[in-house]
Amino acid sequence: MDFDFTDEELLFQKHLREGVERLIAPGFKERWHYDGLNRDLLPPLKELGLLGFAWPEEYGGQGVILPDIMHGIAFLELGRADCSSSIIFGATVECAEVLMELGTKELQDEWGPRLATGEAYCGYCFVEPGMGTDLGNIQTRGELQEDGSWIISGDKASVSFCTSDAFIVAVRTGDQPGAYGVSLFFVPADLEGVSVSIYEDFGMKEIGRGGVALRNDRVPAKYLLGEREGGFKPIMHIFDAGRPALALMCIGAAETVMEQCVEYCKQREVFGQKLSKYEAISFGLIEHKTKLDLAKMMAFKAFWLRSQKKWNAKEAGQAKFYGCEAAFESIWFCTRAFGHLGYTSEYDALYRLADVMGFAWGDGSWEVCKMVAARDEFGEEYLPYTRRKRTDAVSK
Amino acid sequence: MEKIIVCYKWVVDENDISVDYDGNIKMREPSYKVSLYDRNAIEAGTQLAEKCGAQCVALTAGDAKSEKSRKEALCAGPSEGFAVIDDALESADSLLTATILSAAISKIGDAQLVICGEGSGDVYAQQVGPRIAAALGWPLLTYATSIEVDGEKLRIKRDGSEGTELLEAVLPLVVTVAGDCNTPRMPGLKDVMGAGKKPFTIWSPSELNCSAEELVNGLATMEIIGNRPDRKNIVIKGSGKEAADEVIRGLISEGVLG
Ligand SMILES: Cc1cc2nc3c(=O)[nH]c(=O)nc-3n(C[C@H](O)[C@H](O)[C@H](O)COP(=O)(O)OP(=O)(O)OC[C@H]3O[C@@H](n4cnc5c(N)ncnc54)[C@H](O)[C@@H]3O)c2cc1C
Repeated sequence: MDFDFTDEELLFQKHLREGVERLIAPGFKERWHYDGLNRDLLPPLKELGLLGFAWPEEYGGQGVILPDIMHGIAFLELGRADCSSSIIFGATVECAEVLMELGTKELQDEWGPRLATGEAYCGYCFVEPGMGTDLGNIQTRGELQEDGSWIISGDKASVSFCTSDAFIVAVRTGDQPGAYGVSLFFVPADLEGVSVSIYEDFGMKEIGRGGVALRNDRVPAKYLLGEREGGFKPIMHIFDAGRPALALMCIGAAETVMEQCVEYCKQREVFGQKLSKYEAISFGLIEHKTKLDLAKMMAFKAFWLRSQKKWNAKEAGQAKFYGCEAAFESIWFCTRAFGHLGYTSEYDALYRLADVMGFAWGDGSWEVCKMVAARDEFGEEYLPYTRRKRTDAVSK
Repeated sequence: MEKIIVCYKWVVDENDISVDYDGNIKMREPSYKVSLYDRNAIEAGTQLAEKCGAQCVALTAGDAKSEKSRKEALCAGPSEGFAVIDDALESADSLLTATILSAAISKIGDAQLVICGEGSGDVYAQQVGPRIAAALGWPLLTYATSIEVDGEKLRIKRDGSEGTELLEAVLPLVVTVAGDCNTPRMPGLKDVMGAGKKPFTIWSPSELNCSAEELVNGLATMEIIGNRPDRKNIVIKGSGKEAADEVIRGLISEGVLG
């Protein structure tokens, strides 16, 4: 067993920490109030060498896949400065991997050069107003037309980056039950029937979450991603990387707040002694640090399993619910230790708390992560639903 | 210009150093890094090499730990690396370091320009660059804030308290660079992954034909103690001119002003 990163991973982390402190950390609190996808974060992400993974060089991409452990490191380091920057970066990687694996050559040639360089951005539309956790219950419909194109109609909810230039959309195209009838499409945001509305969120405002309505949009056949009715597997594959990544992002945010708090408690005196001398503080800090460290190990284990092409849904789910909750509790503890100042904008603890809270739901709620982990640990009897068999019949 | 050699030192990361109440230095399993201004030297050499199609070569000398510097130095730009390794080089003085480095520079051969940081991140004696120049018998320019190639010549800027000097220099030359000379680049994933594949040669001092008399370390470290300044925490109450006068009186009595 080896708990160390490789030399390359350590170097990647070292440079990233330095670069993130220089390019992303300054201005966090001012940027935090932004509403909508904050594209100002894309040039610094590019300077950090974090854009263009998975895209070929002829599109302006890096021509390399980001290794799994480094994916985790990037989320952790960006999360230390600004959670939004983590997921703005992360979605570019996921988008590139999905489009390079499942997209047609025409689609790749058309959109690759803009997406690879950060000139264009792509969001994900899975959830709908009527469902979130039970993703198999997608109602947005896609009807195949005689000329091979598709007419897509429906409402998508809770879409991060809703002011993007395009979306990867989960659409029901078949009559098979649940997840089996779902296809993935690439949908440009400038189609006539696409409209968006931004939510007024309490955190993660730089990603601009909102609703996306699709009204009879005609989408050409070249925008179908992968096989028809084969859309669910890639969605789950995205989650299996996204969940430990988001855990690391939240842990990064919590580490930043804890580092500030540790310094503060060494200075602040109450009843004639430094706060750090009281065990209510020191034990609390170390308990939270322990949970953050454990969660970090679990998250990197999930990434390591993925790098070994092993099943990691359980560890990914465990890392997400345990890590995000540990981060939330740790930041809340530190906020209280800051005294009344923790409640002011002078400290960034509550900004980060609000950001981290978003991941009680984002990329699958803590509950669904527990559901997946319980299924893999204890068996299908522990699922709240019965998995249905795929039928061979494909509807028109 | 065909070849530029950039020298760097592998030093303890200052973030891993703390000072305890008794002034003892605490370094629990410190990590190491390429010394601060040496990163500027590497960046300057890499930029010049890119501009004039030259080769940029990295060079270090130190004890066995310095071998670990390989990937960090090479991911920052240089296409090849050399290290002179010997346990006797742990905390070597500036003369010994410069003797070793200049012997290595001669052995590498064909270099017209040597770039060093203005001083190392740990000792900051600012002597290695000048001593290399002396050993090689080359001219020296220190504390450069910019280096540009102009045909066969270099144009070098130095910022001082009196103003900025613009100098023209001919090769061969040794230059030391200041921290504001450039911003070292962020190595990308490919640079990081490729660093281990670049050639890196390790020599012992005996391979450099240095005589035993030359390899003497004149510096012995007796003790390293931290400086933990005791804050006086003087609070001046009041406002306006009265308080300002009080601040000035305080600064004069502390010897800061006056
Ligand atoms: C910041 C943020 C970003 C997001 N980004 C995107 C995005 O880009 N694209 C996208 O498609 N979606 C996105 N989402 C939506 C997210 O995926 C959903 O919020 C999540 O899947 C939960 O769905 P829901 O909100 O509809 O809750 P529901 O499914 O309605 O569930 C309500 C509550 O009940 C719990 N629950 C549900 N089922 C069970 C059960 N069987 N047992 C116990 N408890 C249960 C849930 O955990 C939740 O707490 C984002 C959400 C947030 C907050």
